[in-house]
Amino acid sequence: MLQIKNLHVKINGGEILEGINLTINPGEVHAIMGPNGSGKSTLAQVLAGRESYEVVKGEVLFEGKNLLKMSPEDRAREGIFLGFQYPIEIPGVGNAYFLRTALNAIRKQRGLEEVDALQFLKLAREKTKLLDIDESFLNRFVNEGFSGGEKKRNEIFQMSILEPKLAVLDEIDSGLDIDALKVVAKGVNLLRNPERSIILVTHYQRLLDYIMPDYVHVLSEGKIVRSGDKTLAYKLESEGYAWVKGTSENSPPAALECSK
Amino acid sequence: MDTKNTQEFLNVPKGVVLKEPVHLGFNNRIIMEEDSEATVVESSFGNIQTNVKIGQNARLTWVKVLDGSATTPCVSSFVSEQSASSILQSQVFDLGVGVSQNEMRATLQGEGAACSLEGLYILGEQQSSSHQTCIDHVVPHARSEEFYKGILFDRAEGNFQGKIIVRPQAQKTVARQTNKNLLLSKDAIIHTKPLLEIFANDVKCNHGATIGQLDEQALFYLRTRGISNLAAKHMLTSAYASDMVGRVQNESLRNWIQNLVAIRLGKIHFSKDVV
Repeated sequence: MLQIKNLHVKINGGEILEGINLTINPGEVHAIMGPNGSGKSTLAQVLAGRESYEVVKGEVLFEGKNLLKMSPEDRAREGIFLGFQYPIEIPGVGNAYFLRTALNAIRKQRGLEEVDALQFLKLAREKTKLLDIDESFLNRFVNEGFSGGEKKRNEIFQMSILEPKLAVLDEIDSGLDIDALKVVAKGVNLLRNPERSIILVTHYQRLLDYIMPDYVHVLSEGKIVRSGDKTLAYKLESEGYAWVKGTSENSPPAALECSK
Repeated sequence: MDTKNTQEFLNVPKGVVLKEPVHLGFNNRIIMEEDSEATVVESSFGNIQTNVKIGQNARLTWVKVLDGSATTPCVSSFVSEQSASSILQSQVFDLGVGVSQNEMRATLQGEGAACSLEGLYILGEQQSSSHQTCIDHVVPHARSEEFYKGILFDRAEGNFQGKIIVRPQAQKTVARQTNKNLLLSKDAIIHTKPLLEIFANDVKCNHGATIGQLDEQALFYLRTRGISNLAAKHMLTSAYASDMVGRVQNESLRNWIQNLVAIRLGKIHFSKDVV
């Protein structure tokens, strides 16, 4: 589904990603872990098409198509969803209107008919129930005045409506207490299926207790320095990131090997 | 459009509350007697003068809509005098008419009087308009609020000047002024100028002006959900205007204005040189 090959990315002249290789097959959940400043969020933003990052080398294929040539909206229409670490507040834009516009743009791409306001409301209500989300979410402005937990739940809510093929969830666990984390994790788990792939970007192992990844990759100083299964996350938790930092020089990226 | 000058006179007697908005024409004189309430709408253009007296405890909402294209400059002036505990809310929707000059002068002559001057200007092509306001605090314990927002594109030019005078005896005055502008093209120009003349020492006055572009992060957020760049820009621009429209209390009036604003915003050209 997704192939990242030797991806180098710069921002403001400094190289943040220094040769990322990663292959993700349908249905797989990959966790990308790493200390602050390792380039995790950059990778997530680049996949979604953030223009302030400069891709200097490498390629990214999504279902065989050159992702880097696509606008952010085209990527979304192809089936990529970015769950933001800090969802943006947009006063004046209603959540329901925003999400229906988004859904219809994506449906159009998939050759489906547009949904009208009534059909959308029905769909949205079903999802709010499924995700334990208050229906009032729909009537509020996008993320405006939402608590940290509400913002994250709104991301998962959007994801459940838009039904992406690949969801990149950037620190979906940050700032959440344990109850909110459980709700978010439940939402993500409900969306797991054999066709949908998920990338979980996280600093902490805690999230992986609730969303079981198939693979764990450790990002350090712009490179994937370790790849493995869930046990890698436990090792990181007990030994800390210092354990992997020293190895970035000589350890080749093992990412391509792990997802057959 | 009828351009001959007509004189219209509205006198709302003591204690009378008009539930429906009243539409007035060119040269208007409005007298609000004690405890009366009314909403007056003015949507013609040309040379327009409005004189208002608001009696004790009375309340006037004045809504002005400038929409269409005039071949000659539109000049309008609004002058109000307020007695104690009266309320004036003015809402100006300047949707661009070519060239226009709008002057407002609100004098707070009675203690406890309050006025709120609000405005939205949407200027494009080669339109220009100026909004000059003056709020004169003559007595103590009066409040004024001023909130104007602008959206400018193409080669439009806007002028906002907000003057607040606080006379020496007008202690305990509270005055707030805000002017925000969204520039959607490099060739659009806005001049914004607050003028505060404060002669009393126990007052709360503040003012702020901003000039900016669409929020790049919000734009990206919308696009990552599949919404096109252009649709996302329209969405954010409408959102920018929406709180000013939302301030119109009368529902049918608000719907009418919302529709006019939407039509106007639909014609915006987003230039590629700015976000």
